[in-house]
Amino acid sequence: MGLRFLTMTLLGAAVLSQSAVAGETRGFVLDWFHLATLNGEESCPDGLYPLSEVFYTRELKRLGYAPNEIEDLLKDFPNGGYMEPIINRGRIDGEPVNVYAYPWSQPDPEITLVTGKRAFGFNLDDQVSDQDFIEPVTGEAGIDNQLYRALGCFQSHTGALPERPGLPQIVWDIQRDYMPAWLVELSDVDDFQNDDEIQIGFYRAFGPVKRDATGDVRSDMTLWVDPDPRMHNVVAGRIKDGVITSNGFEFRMLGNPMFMAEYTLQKARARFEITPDGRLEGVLGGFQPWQDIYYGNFGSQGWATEHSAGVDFPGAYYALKKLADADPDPETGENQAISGTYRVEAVPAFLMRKSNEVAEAR
Amino acid sequence: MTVTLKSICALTAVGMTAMLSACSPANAPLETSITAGSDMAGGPVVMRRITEGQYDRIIAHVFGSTIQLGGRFEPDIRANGLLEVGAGRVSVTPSGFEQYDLMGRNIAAQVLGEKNRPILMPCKPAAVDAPDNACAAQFLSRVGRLLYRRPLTDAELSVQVKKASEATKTLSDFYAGLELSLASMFVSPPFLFRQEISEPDPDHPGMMRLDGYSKAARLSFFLWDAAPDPDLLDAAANGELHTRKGLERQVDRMLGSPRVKEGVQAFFADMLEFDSFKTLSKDTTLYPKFTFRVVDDAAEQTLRTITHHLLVENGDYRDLFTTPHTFLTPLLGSLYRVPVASPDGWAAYEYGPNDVQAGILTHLSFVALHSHPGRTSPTLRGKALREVLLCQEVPDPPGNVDFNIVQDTSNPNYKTVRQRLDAHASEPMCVGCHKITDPLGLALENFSTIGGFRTSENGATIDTRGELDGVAFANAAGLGRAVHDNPATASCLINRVYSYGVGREPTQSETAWLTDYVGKRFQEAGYTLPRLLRTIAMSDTFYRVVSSDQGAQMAQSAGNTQLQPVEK
Repeated sequence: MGLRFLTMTLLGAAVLSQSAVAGETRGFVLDWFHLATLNGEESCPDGLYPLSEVFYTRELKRLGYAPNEIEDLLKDFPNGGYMEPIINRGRIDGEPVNVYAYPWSQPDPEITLVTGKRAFGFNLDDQVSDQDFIEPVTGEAGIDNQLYRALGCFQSHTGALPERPGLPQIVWDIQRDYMPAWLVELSDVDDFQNDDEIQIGFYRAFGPVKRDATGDVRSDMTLWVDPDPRMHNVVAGRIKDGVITSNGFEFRMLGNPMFMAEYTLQKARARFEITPDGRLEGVLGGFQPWQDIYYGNFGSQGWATEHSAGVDFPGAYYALKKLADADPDPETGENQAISGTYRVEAVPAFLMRKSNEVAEAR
Repeated sequence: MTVTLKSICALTAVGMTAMLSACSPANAPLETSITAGSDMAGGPVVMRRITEGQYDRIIAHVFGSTIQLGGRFEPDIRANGLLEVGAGRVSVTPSGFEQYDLMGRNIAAQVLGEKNRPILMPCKPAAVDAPDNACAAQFLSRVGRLLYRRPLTDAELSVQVKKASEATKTLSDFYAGLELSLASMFVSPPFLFRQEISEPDPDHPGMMRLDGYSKAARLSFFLWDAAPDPDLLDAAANGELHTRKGLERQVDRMLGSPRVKEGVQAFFADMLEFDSFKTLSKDTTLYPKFTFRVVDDAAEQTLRTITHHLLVENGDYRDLFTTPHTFLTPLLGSLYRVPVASPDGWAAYEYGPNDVQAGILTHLSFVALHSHPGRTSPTLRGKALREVLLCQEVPDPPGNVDFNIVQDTSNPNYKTVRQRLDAHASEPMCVGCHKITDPLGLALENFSTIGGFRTSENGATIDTRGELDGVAFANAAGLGRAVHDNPATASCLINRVYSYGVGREPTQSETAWLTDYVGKRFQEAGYTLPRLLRTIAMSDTFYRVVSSDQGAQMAQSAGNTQLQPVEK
């Protein structure tokens, strides 16, 4: 199909973009972006972490409440008198503090961690260790995905495709309406089955996605690429037997300040396939600052999300900190980043720039 | 029949000056004034209920576009292909009256509310809690003239002022009293119905014509789909509109006004049956891209294409069926699967020379409007093309048709709709009518029921060959060219434009005039719509009136061609 050129005299001088190269270019807009998960039975054979009513009972007991007091506090769960002591279950100098803002102010509850052998992702450090997983799609060993190990036994973080993990799905579903859309562009492609040299670009649009009648992201829309180079992630890649893989790169994208304000993935890698109906599906992995994950997904959300999603936020904090596996702090030696993998699904889109070039949706 | 010729290249209004700039003394088509003879006696007057669009436009023009209507309108009916003709065959039901009353009170409250009062009131009452008949009369006579499309009679004004005065005394509020009087005007027949009054024609003893105000209203609703403005009413009042020069000044002024765009859009929205969009639905499980916003944009796409081509470009009407130019929003682009160079609003788009997407037949507004919720229908599309654009009536199907084969899209033996229709049309009772419709509609099978482009159905390649009245074509682009070249295309437009103006089907003598005279002028003018509108608006025939008895004798279906099933 090739490139389609439009006459856009009002848009000023054309700027040669990264995709102005030989070969076909296809654009996509992200439909889904959430933690890549498997089902809980496989990942957590000893059982999932209990729901919030259970671990709230445990925490109230730890705080010194008598059984009858705990029963009274929780009798109207999810409403009722438990909220104040649970929200302020942290202690600093003996004084109650908001535990979500100061997750280290309570003891580590030692949440259930993933002990299964498989997880989506990449061998980011080119090593194979006991802590690594086996990739369920490629069968590759040495998969670095400690983010999944940390969170994968929360009931709201389980689900093998086509199921999606509950909380990450909800978070993305909410934030995608209020943040500029994320875009993917495959360019310089001569053959979508096998091509040794292609370019993969991740960009941000000016506006959010548009939805269709079923609530999914509307495909074949025209989206304008934000010219801010900080939102441009371009990496070389290849296609083998229809599987698109990238070289290593640094992924940086602004998200929604209500949740994850910014996604930064070091040593990022991507693997996609184009489905028969033209969708782009696959995974994006890399090392991500673990404190970004905690404060974006949990610390900023507080009790409302903790009790409804059944995620022990201080427990998640300690797990992320313990399992962080990259980017050691020069002074303390503590790792500041954790390996993780996100599921990416995108629908065809026309990507437009201030040049007169448009990437075909298909 | 006497024909008076006059140059029309003296237009001064900006829009029309540009539009007609190609005129030159050597090649300029000349305007006519036809003095009706015995065979050009015009037709009967029709009392029409104003449409929703006209109501909305009148309120906006008289009181400003910030006034909200806040009600719903009774459904219109379509006759001779037009709601505007059906408007002469409807009344007001009790529930419809309640809605008019609700809207009238709501509008009056806004007009005389504290926010708009300083702008819309021409005077201040001596006291706000007591009647001021002089001020009330000043206001009511001014707005009444615009709402009734004629001055209020002394009796009417007296009644309205009395109403306001009595209400003011009861409520101790001048504006509240005036509000009730104004609200009552919105439910009165002179406002809700276009009442045309005839009078003896002094230039042609024994014949009748519209009186000045009726003539102004017919002209205004014809060109603007709105009530006459003060200038036109003045021309009616001083007799200028009954003079050739005066009529010409008004017609050219109105054709040069931006309001003519609204008028043209209203006409084509009526002719193309866009009122059906209100009830159009698609199976969103199969077609999730189809949303209410798409519906709005679909109608707008075609109307923008039409007005740009016909008014801005002064283009050939028939080229609407072949033009690669259109306007799109990103939302429409997602359905058509083309990029749209506009972040939010509308952008011009041009299809390539080899694309089959050419002309308004390939717009969502045609292919989606004439399809089923979950599948296309070459029969409905072909029928619509015949009836809407060629003014040909396709016979209704018999009541005992078996649609099972056509409706079963999962039958592996009939993967495409062509195969299903071929099997269905093998029934002797079906084949005749399907030969009229299907060869047209099958050419549009590249467009799904929501207008998306496709080349296969159920894995089978779609065959888009067809023919129109002996002209064969390979696809939608070829169909567009065939419609462009078909003589019925232009004559149908003429029929519909005239019917729209007079609110009824043309009489036999009018049809002959439209065919022999207007059609020839339309052709000479390169099938340009402004020239067609001007030809009709400047004619005597357009305003000629016969008595109701004569009209009843003359009224006949002179517009549509009755098609007969084709022998196998």
